[in-house]
Amino acid sequence: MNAPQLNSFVSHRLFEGSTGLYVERNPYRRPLWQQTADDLDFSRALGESEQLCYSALVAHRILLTIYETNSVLLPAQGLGTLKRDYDEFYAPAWRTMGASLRPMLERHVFGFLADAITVSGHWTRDALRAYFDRAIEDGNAAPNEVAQAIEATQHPDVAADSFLIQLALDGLTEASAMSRTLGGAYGPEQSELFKIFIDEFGYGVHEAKHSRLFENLLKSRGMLTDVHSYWSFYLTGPTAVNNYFYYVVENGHFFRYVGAVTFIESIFAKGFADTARTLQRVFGSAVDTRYCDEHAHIDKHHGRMTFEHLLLPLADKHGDEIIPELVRGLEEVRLLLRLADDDLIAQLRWADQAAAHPHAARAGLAGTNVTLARGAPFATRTFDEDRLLVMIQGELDLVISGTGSPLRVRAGEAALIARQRLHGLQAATESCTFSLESTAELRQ
Amino acid sequence: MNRLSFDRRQFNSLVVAGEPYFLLDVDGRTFLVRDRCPHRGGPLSLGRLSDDAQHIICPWHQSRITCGSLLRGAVPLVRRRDDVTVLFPLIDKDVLLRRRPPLTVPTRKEKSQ
Repeated sequence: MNAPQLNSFVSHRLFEGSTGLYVERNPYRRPLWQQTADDLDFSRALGESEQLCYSALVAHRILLTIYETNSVLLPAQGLGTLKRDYDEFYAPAWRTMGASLRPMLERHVFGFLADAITVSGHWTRDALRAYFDRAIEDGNAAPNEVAQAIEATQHPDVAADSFLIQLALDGLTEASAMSRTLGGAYGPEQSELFKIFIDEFGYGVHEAKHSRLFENLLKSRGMLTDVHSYWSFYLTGPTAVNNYFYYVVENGHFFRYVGAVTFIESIFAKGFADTARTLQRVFGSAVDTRYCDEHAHIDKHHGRMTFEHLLLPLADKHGDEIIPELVRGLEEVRLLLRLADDDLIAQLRWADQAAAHPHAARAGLAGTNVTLARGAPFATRTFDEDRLLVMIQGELDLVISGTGSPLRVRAGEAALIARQRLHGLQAATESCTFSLESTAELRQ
Repeated sequence: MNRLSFDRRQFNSLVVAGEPYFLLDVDGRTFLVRDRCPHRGGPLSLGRLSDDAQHIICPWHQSRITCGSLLRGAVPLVRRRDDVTVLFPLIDKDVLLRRRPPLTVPTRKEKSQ
């Protein structure tokens, strides 16, 4: 059973559907949950195989919102008419309500990690070093499956944009979770982490700040640069990775954070070099890859710094007892990165296939009809099983990616919405009527 | 340090540098512990759990070895689903992997039922 405050939280006017596909120039407004007939239960821990289900997507959206009520977000154009939204987003009572919901939602989406991963035994510094060395070596040797999937689609430009949208989850607020580990007092290791943070923040030169470089990358693609403009197009898996770093720091798992950040800093240099090459192959010289180039360079240093000057000294100073937590952080983020990559690749492939064409609907399939008016609030969602969208009257746009053309479905046509695939629906005529059939029911 | 990875559905016991070890699940967590009774070296993996699930009873002389003492000397291990990775200072080429009837310490929840 869900906490009673949950409905109050998700029903707030800030979290209703947006007027268009994007949430433009307002970091407080973010569609959380289409209030349909779905009866989502957040009170139990999802299993590993359920991590991409609809309730996980909604839980991650709510969690990111709760985490970000502790970050300062201001719109680039100034508050102006958004002052009320700002006041309500950061209202103390509102944040208290979010904080009370957080443990349940975190258990729902991160509870599986305790079962999925065991770290046991008596670990030593040598074992720690050997384990990280090998994990990093494996991470850097693995083929970049996301880059391969982007280039294999029929529309690699749309696929690459979809990838950039996932990077925007963190790219426009970069190092916000890290900033929460900088307070307190923990000796030279704290200063080491601060050096990395300074790099992320461009040494106080705004044009060199990583999030600014990322804005320039988006601009070069003609994409929106405001925080969470693409809120509705964040996938579950990438949001989980982003939220994980908040989750560990907010719950006092500092050593897990260090293990996780050491691992990602050690594989990002190669990952971003791959990304820069892919973007250049897809978009040519017009794309501004300085964000990727910066990471490809500086993360070579950050990998070494986190490992040699943060992780190992912490283990030396605080004893072998903390080593399993460092290893757990590595393994947890590695598992979530795998889920995120799988989610993105599946989305790219589905959108690529769905974009091919809708097909003629078989007669007699229509079930419960839904009517959608032009201009109705927009939000995206997933289904936990395949659904067949059957158009009965009018025309509808099945939105399958953050950029690129939607799939136009006309009366008499049908389109398959694959399980766990993110999509949105927009009426393309004054109104349209359709039904969504479970393919399991259709088979019966 | 050297790594050894295996699927725990296939193997739950190994011999490294002549020393036997076995996988022991305690409270839902997996450990790799020495398969040698501290009394006279009996194979603990062939023993049985005490009724209170706190001890392993050695099949040779019925010595009661506390699970806690075994776990203190456990080998560094990471389990991801059924994939197990363990680390040893040295792994000789004659490492032996094998499957024996599993010995599992029930979870607290199971104990209370």
